Amino acid sequence: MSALQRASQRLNALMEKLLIVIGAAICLILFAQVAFRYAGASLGWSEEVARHLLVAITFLGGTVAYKRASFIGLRGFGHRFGAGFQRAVVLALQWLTLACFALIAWFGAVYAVKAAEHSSASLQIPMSIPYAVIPLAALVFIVHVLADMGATRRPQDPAG
Amino acid sequence: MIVGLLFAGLFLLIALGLPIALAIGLPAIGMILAPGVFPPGVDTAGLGQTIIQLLFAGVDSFDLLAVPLFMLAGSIMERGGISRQLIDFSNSLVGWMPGGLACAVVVASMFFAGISGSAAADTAAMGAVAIPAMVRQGYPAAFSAALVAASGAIGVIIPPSIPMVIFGFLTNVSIAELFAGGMLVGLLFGLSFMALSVWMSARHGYGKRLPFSLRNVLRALREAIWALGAPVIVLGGILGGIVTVTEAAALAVFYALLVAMLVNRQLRWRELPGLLVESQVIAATILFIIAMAKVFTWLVAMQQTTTMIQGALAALALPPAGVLLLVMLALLVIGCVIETTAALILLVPVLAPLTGMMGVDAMHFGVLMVVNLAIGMLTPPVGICLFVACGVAKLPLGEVGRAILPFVGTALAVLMVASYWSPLITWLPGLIYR
Repeated sequence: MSALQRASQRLNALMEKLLIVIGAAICLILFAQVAFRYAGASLGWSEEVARHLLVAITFLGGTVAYKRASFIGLRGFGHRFGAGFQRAVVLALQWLTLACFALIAWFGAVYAVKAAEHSSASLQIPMSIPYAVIPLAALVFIVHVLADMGATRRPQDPAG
Repeated sequence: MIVGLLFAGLFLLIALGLPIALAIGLPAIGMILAPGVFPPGVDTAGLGQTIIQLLFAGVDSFDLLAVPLFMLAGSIMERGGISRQLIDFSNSLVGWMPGGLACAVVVASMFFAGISGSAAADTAAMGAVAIPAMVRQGYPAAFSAALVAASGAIGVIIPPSIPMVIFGFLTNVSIAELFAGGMLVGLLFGLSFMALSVWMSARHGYGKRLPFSLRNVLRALREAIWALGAPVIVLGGILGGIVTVTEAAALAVFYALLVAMLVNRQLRWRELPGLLVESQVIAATILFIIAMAKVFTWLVAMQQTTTMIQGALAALALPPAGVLLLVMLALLVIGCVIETTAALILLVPVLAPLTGMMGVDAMHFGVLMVVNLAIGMLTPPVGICLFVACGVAKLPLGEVGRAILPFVGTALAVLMVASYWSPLITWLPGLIYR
């Protein structure tokens, strides 16, 4: 297994742990929101935090979903082509995916820095913090795609 | 031209097997940044910023929080052993009829639909228990799998429903009203599937009939009472205006934990992290599609697509009932080739503004769209309920695909009734909210 593939697996394990923490946090925050409201003391911050955690689930969870789908072979009608042609098409799709996430990482990082000028409505934290999850997730995607590309190029490697 | 290229790219990438969120996102992002698509004055950095804002705004929603929470509640209930309790209780109620166990599976699926918002979760939860039990009672395996898949599709029609949450989020239609609107159609779906099961079982001699016994009903009710409490809390809380849809989803998670861990003692603490990851990843798959589709549909909207479709429909000079029929037929075809959630997310922004031409209000159309796409979950090549049921029953797609045809036909008849007899959808929300 290459260093890139090891890095991809470790990052994925970290993302899965983050998903457990975020999922549990959302449940607890929303339960507290209902409980406090009926106790007559509504929480002002719970909705905003829960929304930002949902954005984190979307993009970080998206990387785990991508990893599980392990996009190293053609499905759909592409499966019917010969092995060499399939590999060429997969590599082309992987390059496209890589370019897409590189663009998202770049524009996301630029926008996250710019968003520091704005604060969130209730917590008054810089909007860079919730926006940072997009470029971070894009970087994780890039590692996964690069690891997949390695596996596509060396299909005989049993560890790949 | 641009919209044509976008959809051509989408279909090509889906056909090649790229994950759906990427098949939506790649052509959209590529097209936005391609030279010549926007006027020369619009700079690339500004377009890049727009893409990031759209990705973020696509999922920055309190309503959408209900998606991972209802997924989690369904997973906990599934693991917590409630499927068997619901089937036993339903069997004690309707097991005396011809095709009794088949009817019990439909009734149990309707109860489960009141807890979970996902048809795939309903199919998986019921299938693991129901298909082997039906086969033991002499029902053909393909019929059993087809029945479980068809009943599972009710999961998105009877509230809570993840597609309705998404429709409400995309159109600002009240999700609680959509839930109320889905209730009677879901019940009609269930009753129609039961009628079909009774007829087929009587005709072909499927299954056994159990004598009705009040004592059996009470015993099964005692065991299932906690499971039956979940839909009461979720739907009662939402329709009664006590909690929001998202808060109800959080309460459903805690209630499911209570039943699975303390009452049924089927779920252990150490299994929880795994369940959390599984449900969050499935939810993220849907949410990631929504985020990417926000970019896609923004570009489609920029090309005045809805206005073009409006013009084309106006040129046909059809009455509203004809326009509605045309849209429903188009949705049926699209639901057969694009995964349901993705189809909903891509089509709602284009079709929702056309409800005036169809002679229905937005809530009615939302429920019809979800019902229509639920039928898409039963048809190959992308019918998720069909796949899950085939997986559980270990049967080939073709065999179950043939057995499900009568159920698809019945579902189409219900869709037609719901399309042209509006009180089926509008009466209950009117009673509760107006």
